[in-house]
Formats: sequence, C-alpha cells, structure tokens
Amino acid sequence: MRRIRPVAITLLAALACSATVLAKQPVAQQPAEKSLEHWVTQLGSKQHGPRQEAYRALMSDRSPRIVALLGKQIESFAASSQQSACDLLRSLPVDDARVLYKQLLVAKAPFLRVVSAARLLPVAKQRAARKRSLQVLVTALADCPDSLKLSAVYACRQITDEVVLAELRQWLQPKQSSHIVIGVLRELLRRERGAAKATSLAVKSLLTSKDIRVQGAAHTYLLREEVKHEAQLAVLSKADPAIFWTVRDLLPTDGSYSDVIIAVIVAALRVPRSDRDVNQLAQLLKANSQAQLGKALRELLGHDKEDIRAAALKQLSTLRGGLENKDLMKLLRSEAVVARLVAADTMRRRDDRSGLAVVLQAVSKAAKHKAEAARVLSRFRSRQAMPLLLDLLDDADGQVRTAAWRGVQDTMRSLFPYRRFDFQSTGYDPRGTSRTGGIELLRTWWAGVK
Amino acid sequence: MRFAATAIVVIAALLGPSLRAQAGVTAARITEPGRSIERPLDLVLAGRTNKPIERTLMVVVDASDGLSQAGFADAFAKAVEANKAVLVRTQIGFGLVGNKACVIVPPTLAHQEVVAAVRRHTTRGDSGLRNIYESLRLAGAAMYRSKGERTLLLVSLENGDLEDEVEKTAQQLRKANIRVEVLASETTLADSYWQRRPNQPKPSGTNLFGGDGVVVDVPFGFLFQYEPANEVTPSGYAMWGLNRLAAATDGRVFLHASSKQLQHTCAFTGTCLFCDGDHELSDAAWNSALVAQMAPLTGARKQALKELGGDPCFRLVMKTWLDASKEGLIQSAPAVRVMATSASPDRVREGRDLRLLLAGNFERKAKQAELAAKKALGLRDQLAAAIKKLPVEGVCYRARASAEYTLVMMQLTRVNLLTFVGFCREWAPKWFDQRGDEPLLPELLPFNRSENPAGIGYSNLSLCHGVRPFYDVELPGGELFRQELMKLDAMFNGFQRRYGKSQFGYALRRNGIARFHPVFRGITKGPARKRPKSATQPKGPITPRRPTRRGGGSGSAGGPTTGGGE
Repeated sequence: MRRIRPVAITLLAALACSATVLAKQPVAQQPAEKSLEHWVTQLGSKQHGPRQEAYRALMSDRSPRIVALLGKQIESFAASSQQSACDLLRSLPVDDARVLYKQLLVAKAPFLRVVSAARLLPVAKQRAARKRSLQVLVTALADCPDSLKLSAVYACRQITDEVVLAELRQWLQPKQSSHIVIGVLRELLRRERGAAKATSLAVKSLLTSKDIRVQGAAHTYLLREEVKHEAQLAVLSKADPAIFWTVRDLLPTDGSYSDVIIAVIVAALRVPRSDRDVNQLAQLLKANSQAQLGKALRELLGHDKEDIRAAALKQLSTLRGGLENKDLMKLLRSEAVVARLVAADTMRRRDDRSGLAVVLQAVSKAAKHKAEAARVLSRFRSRQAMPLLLDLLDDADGQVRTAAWRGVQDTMRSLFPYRRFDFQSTGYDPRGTSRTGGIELLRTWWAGVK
Repeated sequence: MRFAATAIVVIAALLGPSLRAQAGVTAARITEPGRSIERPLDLVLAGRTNKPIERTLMVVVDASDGLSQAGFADAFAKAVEANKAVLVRTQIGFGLVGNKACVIVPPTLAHQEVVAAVRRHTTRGDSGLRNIYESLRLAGAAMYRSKGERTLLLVSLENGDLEDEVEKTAQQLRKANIRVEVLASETTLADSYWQRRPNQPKPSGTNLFGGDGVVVDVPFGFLFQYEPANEVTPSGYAMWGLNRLAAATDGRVFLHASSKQLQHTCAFTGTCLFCDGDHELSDAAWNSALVAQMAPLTGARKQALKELGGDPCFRLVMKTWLDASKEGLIQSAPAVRVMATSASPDRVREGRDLRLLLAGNFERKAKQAELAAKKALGLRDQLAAAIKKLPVEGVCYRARASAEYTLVMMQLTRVNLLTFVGFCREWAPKWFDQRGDEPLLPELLPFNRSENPAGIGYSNLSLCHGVRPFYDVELPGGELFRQELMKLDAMFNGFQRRYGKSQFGYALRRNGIARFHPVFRGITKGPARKRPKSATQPKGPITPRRPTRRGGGSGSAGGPTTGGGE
C-alpha cells in the first residue's frame, strides 16, 4: 500500500505533464497555420473557383490570425480578391483588425482605403482620428474606379456624414452606368430616409441622360416630389417593360401610390419573371390597392409556370376577400396539390379545419411541394397530424425534415400547455445524418400520451 | 271628452313597451362611419349646407402623441385649402385643451394664421390627463358674440374620460347655439379601466370614466380572466362624455383609428395556441345594424340611468353581477344601485375574494373550487331561466346582449374552476411529489420538486379561435371538465351566431380558458424611495400622467378598433 500510492501519484503526475506538453506543442498549431496561409494565398487567385473556395474556408475559420496573414498580401491582390479579403475582414470585430485598417488607410488601392476608413470612422473616439478617416474616405471615394464603385458604396453603408453623401451624389452623372446610378440612389434613399433636397437636385441632372434606365431611375426617385414624373415613368415602362424591374427598389415603400404608378406596377405584375416578382409586387400593392392586386393575381392563376400560379394563389389567399368560401371549396377538390394546400391553409386561418383531411392525404403526393405540405400540416396543431409529422422527420428532403421538426415542436407545445419540453435533449437534428435515435424517442413519448 | 281620454290611455298602453325601448337617443344616431382623419375635417369645414354662409368655427385641439402621429396638422391644412371657396365667410379660431384661456387664435378670416398655429401646437404632444370640458366651456364663451352659424370642432384622441361637469358644459354650449362636432378615438365596450383603478390621482372636482355608456353595464372581472374583455373590446363608439356633448348640441361624432390599431391580435397577453398571428377572424367585418342596436345611450346620466333602471334586462344583469360578486365568481361589483323602478350610481366595490390563488393545501383548494363551480352552475341556470322569461320586444338590446354574455361567461367561469380543480388534483401533486417519476424525454419537469410554491398563477388561452380547438388540447379536469367544455362550445357558438359580428361577439372571444402554474418566491427589491433625498432634487410630475394600457381607445394609440364599423 505504501509503495502503490507513490507510484500511482508519480504516474498521474506524468500523465498530467504529458497532457500539458501535448497541449503546448507547436506541432499542433503548425498544420492549421500552414493551411490558413495556403487559403490566404489562394484567396489572391485570379480564378473565381479557387478564390471562392478559399473564401469559404477562411470564412468558416474566421480566426483573428487571418488578419496578419492578409496584411502581408492584400495590397498585392487583384481587385476581385481585394473585395473578398475586405468581406472577410468585415466579418471580424473591428478591434481584431484595427491595426491592419490603419495600415490600409495609406494603401495604393482606393477601394482598400474606402473600406478601412469606413470601418474606422464609426469607432473613432478622438475628433482628430475621425476627421482623418473622413478625409481619407472622401478622397478614396473620388478615386474609386467605376468597377468598384458599387462595392465602395456598400462598404460605407454605416456612414451618414454629409461630406460622404455629397461625394456619392457626385456619381449621379448622366453618363454614369445605370447600375451604379440605381445602386447609389437606393443607398441614398436608405441613408437619407427618403428623398432629400440635395439628392433631388443631383437626380434632376440625370433626366438628360441618353440611357433610358438612368432616366427611369431619376423619374422614380423624383415622383416623391412632382406628379409629372409618374406619367413619364409610365411612358418609359410602356416603351421598355424591363425598366420597371431595374427601378422597382426605388419606389416608395409606404404604399401611397397614385393610380398611374399602380397601373405601372400592375402591368409589371401581369408579366412576372418569377414567383419572387409576384411576392414582391404584391407586397407593394397590398397596403392601398387590394382591388387591383386581386384582379391581377386572379389573371396569373392561368399562367404557364406552376411556381407563378402557386405564388399568385398564395398571395390571393392573404387578401381580404381574395378567396371566398365558395372558391376555397372548389380549390380543395382541385387536382393541383398547391391549390389544395392553399385552400386548406386559408380555411384553417378562418377557423374552418375541414381541410386537415385533405392535407393529410396530400402530403404523400405532394412531390416537390412536400415541404410546403409539412408546413401547412404543422399549422393545424392537431393530434391527427402528429404521426405523419413524426414520419416526415426522416424524409429524404432536408427542407421537409426542417418543416416537420418545427411542426412537431409547435404542435406539442400547443397541445400540451401544462408540459415543458426540451427538444434538444432528443438529439434530433434535421440536418444531421443519424436521426433514428431522436425520432424513436419522440415516437415513444407520443405513444405514451396520445 | 271621456271617450277621447280613454282612447289616449289605450293608445299609450299599446305603444308603451315599444316606445320605452326607443325613448333614449343612442350613440348610433350621432356617430359617423369611417375611421379616417380627412373625411371629418372635410365635412366639418364645409359645413352642413356646403355653401359660403356666415359661420364661426372654433377648432379645439387636445395635443396628444396620437394626434401628432396621425398627421393632424397636414390634414387640417389640406382641408382648409380644399374648402377655400366655402370658407370665404367663415371665421376660424383655434383653441388648445389645457391652455389657460383655451383660445390661441380668436376667430378670424385669416385662415393661414390658424393653420400655422395648429401646426405649431400639434406637431408634438404628450399623453397627460387633461380636462377638455373646462376648455370647451372657455372656448364656448369666446364664441358668444360671433355671428352666423356656430360650430365647435373638438379633436381629442386620448382625453374625454376626465369628466368635469359634462351636463353643465352641454347645456352651456346648447344655450349658446354652438354645435359640437367631435373627432375622437373609439373607446372600449363598457370600459372598466378607471373603475378598476379608483385611486388614480386626478384633478379635484373631476371624475375618471372612459366607457361608452353612462355606467359600466357589462360585468367585468370574471374569476380567472387575466384582463377584462371590457378593456380590449372596441365598442364602435366614443366615450360617453363626448357623445353627450355632440348629442346635446345636435352635433356628430367622428372616430379615428391608425392602421396599426386595425391589426388583429388573438391574445393581448401571451401567445395564441392555435396560430402564428395569421388568424382571419370570420366576424372581423362587423354588422353595422347589429352594432347600432347595441349602441349606448347618450342622454344625461341621470335620465339615462332612470331609463336603464326600468329595463328588465339591465336589472337582471345587475342582479346576477351582484350575486356572482358575492359568491366570488366575479371580482368586481356593479357601480350601480338598482331600485324599484330606476337606478343610481353607486360606489365602486370589489367582489368577494375566494383566495384560491394563495399558497396552501392543493386538495383544500380543489374542494373550494368545486363548491364555487356548483355556485356558478346555479347562477348560470338561474340566469338562463330568467332570460327565457324576458319579453322579446320592449327591452334594451344592449342589456339583453349583456345578459346573454354574462350567461356564457358564467359557464366559462365554471369550466375554469373545473380545470383549476383538475390542476390541484392531477398536476400539482405530480409536480411536487418527491417520490414521483421523472417524465420521459423530451419532456422535463417544469419546476424543481424541492421548491415550495408561494401560490398559484395563471394565464389565459384565448378563445379567439373558439372553443372547439381546445378539444385536442390536454387540459386538467377529467370527464366533467370535458362535458362542460362541450356545453361551453355549444353556448359559445350560439352566442356568436346572434352577436358574432358585433362588439359583444368580439368581447366573448377576448376571454380565455385559464392555464395554471405554481408561483415561487423570487428575489425581491425594496420599494423605490418616494421622497427626494434633498430639497434641490426635482420632484416627480405634479400633473397626473395617463398610465399606459394595452387596449382601448383612450390612453394609448395601440388599442383595437372595429375597423370602420362595417
């Protein structure tokens, strides 16, 4: 006994020692360091693929050590690599990259100067530092090449200083390319919280542009001030319907449109390019033009593309009086799965739960709409839906599993208000590979309470 | 001669009951449809004749937060511009509620001066309690010498509940031939807010009452209802005081609501069990005829109470309310004393407290609740029998709706008491049984078994989706609870069929089934020091502040509205 104890202590001490040594060994760090260096070098590649691969790898790491490595190479990168590097830096806390930002204030590339000054400006504590950052930013913006202007605008998104905004207004020239004009106007509207006098003056000069997209952007901005621009925008949109899609982000978002603008939006809604367009334009019209919106959406129910038909039907169902009970009953018996799902969901919202049986049947036949079917099913918060939702937890499609997992949680919380759940304890993850254990646990629990 | 007298008596006897029901003028007659701010301004500025006659219009504004957010100054400027031709001979003045002399700009033909003054004084507001009746008397006095038609436009989105000699104000304005047009917020159905807060500081000589009727005529404070439906149900009308002024002077009442107020919420407190906020209430569009049937009286308080006191439905509601409060089923008592043929205001009293929520033996509480549930059953049956005996015609519709609402609420209270019994017998012992089994994952014990509960708390599971969805929900109470829940479902649906598209149908949906939970002693902090440490430190505001409230037209701009009285 006397001998055993000292031996055991010695062994334990040796083990502890070796563990400490292992932890401190530079060997453990070296491969990671190497790999980071490798990725940073690859970020400077002129080819898009390798550059993106390196960007993703570095983004997932987000180690502060990236800063020092980037500091060595960033100025030698091509413009596209510099953009990626700046995006990476922006994802790190300012304090981690402060030294590099200060170094970049005197960089040769104006874009790097814009990014560094824009990051340092909001955190500058002393007036002199703030003044210097502001000066650098304004000069760098003036030097920025056309190809990087939009990225520069987004880089200084947080800055609302008048000198910076004035510099941005300088870019609103009749000869400027339309995507820069629209991008700058969108940013100015955001930063100035609507139209501003100084910007309006600059925008008026754009009306002389030969590019009708620039003209369209100017009219869209100015319709906040003068009614005559509405008619001019309508004429331009009629001449080239694509104009509307380029300027739609510049429209006022409060929904207070005149009949002319409503007609322009409705005309665009009638020829959508995707279901996203339907959803976006419906949001614009929902506030004050429900009648026109309803009419346009009804027309889209006969569209060739199924996605657009489905989006139109969904939007229609959210309008007050968009779908009457008579229409819903018809849709519930329809051949199209989406129509049945929308009808059942709308009826549920109106306290009619008779669509549940239809949804239960539709899930297995829903094919590409299975995730939507799972979402609709989970909104019923019904005991009948639970077995099917539990089955869907093991579906081959990740989106279906995610929808079903959320549905299981919502349904259980609603049906059992006196019980407390810790869903993480099941170990189920819809994105994970081994899901059987979690599902079995949930099935056992459900069998016990149903 | 004798024949003629007999005929008159016979005719009077025949017409008696139906006349009694229509004798009082209700708020429906003076309330205009719509909820915008532009239409009322347009109508009032144009005048009733819509011709450029000689007129004096005094605009008295209560500058509140809600008013500045509604963009009143811009809307007023637009309306003046739009009606320029009609206003050629109209002198417009401007008064501010709370200003010492009220009048800021005396009536003048220089309308732009008034527009500028309105803009200056209404772009910022505060939500203090202000006596608008005093300001109206002052504004009225400033109009005595004015020529032509006299109109006073009162714009107040938050005040009007601080009553100060309403009848005297109405008489004074009527004698001066001043017509009062009101632009106000919609109040809640029989608002009980101030009745529940009798100790709210207020200027001397005033009284706080924000309901739509002359008294709170719909019972509130039902056992296990966290928030009275009376405080979150839009009534479709303005406060009684404002209605009274308009009615007494042949004026009109316009209601205003912001788009935020028109949004539907299933539960004002907590979350809804059955939706993610996408509920489309089938009764959302109210039936204006039905809403008008349930409109409150706008007569003088004394006269209106006399009329209500003679109504068998009103008397029945007040009696049931009083009985239920004595049994502890309603935690308030009516502030009305019903006498042989009339009624009079009474002091505010609370109902009996059954002390079910205090710490103690769960089994004893279950027995107490069982007893209370039996009493609820007795009162429910008694009320149902009395309602059956009521005449179909010749009664006040509002009081009848109130009686039927009370009937369903008695059943809901019974259901809640039964689920409380179930909670005390089924769930609480299981949670606090030291030798009990651990629940199966993913379920966890909601509380630490070793802790001692300091009482019982509850929240409400909203009835916005009706009673039927609760059939699927696991609630304590056993078979009896389930049977009573089904009865409640039948009563709920019956009530909604009759009153679903009105303020009473909406009010019923604002109640809920109680969900109980034990409460534990937390870390408490001492009360804040009331007196300042030294004489140099500033003291708190002297003017009473308006407390923030969740629903209702008065107090905050976030209350519900009927959405235009559809």
